Amino acid sequence: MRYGIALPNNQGVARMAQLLELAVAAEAMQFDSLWVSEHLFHASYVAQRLGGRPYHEPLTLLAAVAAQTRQIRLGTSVLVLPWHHPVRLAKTLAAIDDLSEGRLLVGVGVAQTEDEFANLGVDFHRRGRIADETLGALKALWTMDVPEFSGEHYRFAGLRVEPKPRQKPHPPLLIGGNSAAAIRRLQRYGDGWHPLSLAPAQIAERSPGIGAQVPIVVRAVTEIAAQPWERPVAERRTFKGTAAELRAMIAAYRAAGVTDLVIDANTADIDATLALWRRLREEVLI
Amino acid sequence: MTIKIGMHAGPQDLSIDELKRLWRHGDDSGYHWISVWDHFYANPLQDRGNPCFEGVAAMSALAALTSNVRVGCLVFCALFRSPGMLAKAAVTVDHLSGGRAEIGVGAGWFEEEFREFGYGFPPLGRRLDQLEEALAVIRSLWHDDVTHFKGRYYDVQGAVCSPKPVGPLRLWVGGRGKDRTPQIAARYADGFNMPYLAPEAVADRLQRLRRACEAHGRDPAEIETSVNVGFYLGDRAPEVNPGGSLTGSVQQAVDRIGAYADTGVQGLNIAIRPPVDWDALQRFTDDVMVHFQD
Repeated sequence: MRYGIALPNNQGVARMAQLLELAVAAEAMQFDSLWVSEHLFHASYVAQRLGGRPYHEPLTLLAAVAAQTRQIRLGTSVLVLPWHHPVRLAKTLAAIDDLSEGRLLVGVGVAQTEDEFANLGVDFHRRGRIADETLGALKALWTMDVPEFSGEHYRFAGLRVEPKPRQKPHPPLLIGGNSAAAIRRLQRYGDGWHPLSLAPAQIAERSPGIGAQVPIVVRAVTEIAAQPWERPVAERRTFKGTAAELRAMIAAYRAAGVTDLVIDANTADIDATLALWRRLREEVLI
Repeated sequence: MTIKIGMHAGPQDLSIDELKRLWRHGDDSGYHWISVWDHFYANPLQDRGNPCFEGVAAMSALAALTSNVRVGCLVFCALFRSPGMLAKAAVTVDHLSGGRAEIGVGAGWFEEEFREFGYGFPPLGRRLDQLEEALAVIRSLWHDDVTHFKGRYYDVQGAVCSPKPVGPLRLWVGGRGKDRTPQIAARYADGFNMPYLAPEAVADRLQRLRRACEAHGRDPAEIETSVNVGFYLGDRAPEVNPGGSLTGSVQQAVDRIGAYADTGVQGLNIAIRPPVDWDALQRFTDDVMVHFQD
């Protein structure tokens, strides 16, 4: 099992510099990857969580993290595909892959925030189809000398786009989401699956549909509890429990095919986040 | 933002196989609670021929078929069984479930089933009086070595209820009423359930419950609270109580549950009315519940 951490760009931390310090600390603590999230407007649960506090732009942050770290992999959890023009996105991601010497992991999804789509002028009900086209376009842009793509929303031909990403054929595309549509998207376009808050038993139920050897990166809200919890570890959708229960939960994730567990401290409190990582390193992730 | 998500799966208008499938889905998907209800007829009453299973028997099966969820009934009608019989049934379900039972009791409201099954239909005030006596008897049978109770409706002398509960076996009082329901909950209940109320009404009832607790010298923190909401994610329109329902898109459901969480209510049970929309239920489990993990 590899272990990642969710860098709290979505939690209302005041300054990006604080997130950079956390990223450097995560690398020093030998976590394998760090992950940033994306929303543009404060909609729905984001508004409830943040009020007027900031939601930091993920790709700008990853570029800065790339410059300050050497080993840790840099992931998105997730980029909302229908909010990005594929050509600009292909260029930006190739730039981060270059800056990071090929450490980028591209988690993608479609989001559920209807009013955010409305305010961005993107048709909420077409978001799945737009996402599929964007994935097809990204692959063309990243792999073809003269990229050619023809879809309903995007089409291009006859012009070069350079540079290609550092990783070949391109950075891994991890398909976010727990739904049947996400699994279909994974089968068609994905290099890995990125479920959010799914229990080991639920992942095991779905993993036959995605095949063996496919990376499964699960992100889970994490807490080390003082008291045990009666629900069996294989059926917990959050990574919460005593240290012994969390070790058992890791075994259940591993048995379900999970390759990477992303720790989400789910707080803007930097000290609490660091304290949680340290305790996990000492008592759980052994 | 956390709120404990449960499922209120009434045993009506569906087959036992589909009911069991609902229970298994809830038990395997991180739901905190599954409850049944207690009626002779499927409600709202459309056709007396619509299937409706009995509450105690359904709850026993729920206890036996699940291993994670709290096993509830919202609510048993106090007048349908003697309080001694209900107290014994509850302890049996408590043991069957390994201490997961949660027993709601109410005064009943469904006039046709009362009258046609031979219970008469006393006025609301009298039904509530009888509910209070039943709650007092049930509490005593669960927790006292010997029960002596003489009231207007019940006369229980020297009754011994054994075994005692293995779990916390909470007694829930549920109802939409503004006045006596919070009062009765403050006096007798470990849990207070509000069926199909909008968030503003929930805030009002919680306030009334707190005031009633003060009046009775009870710490409101001892009483767990929950709301039931109709489950109509997707295109379906609610048949009853649209204000107390989840409707529309995933985001609308997330925002609505957020509004309930803001009232301070601790639990929210989605009430499933067949036909079961399995796709909508899966979307709720995958995309809505994620935002409210405990």
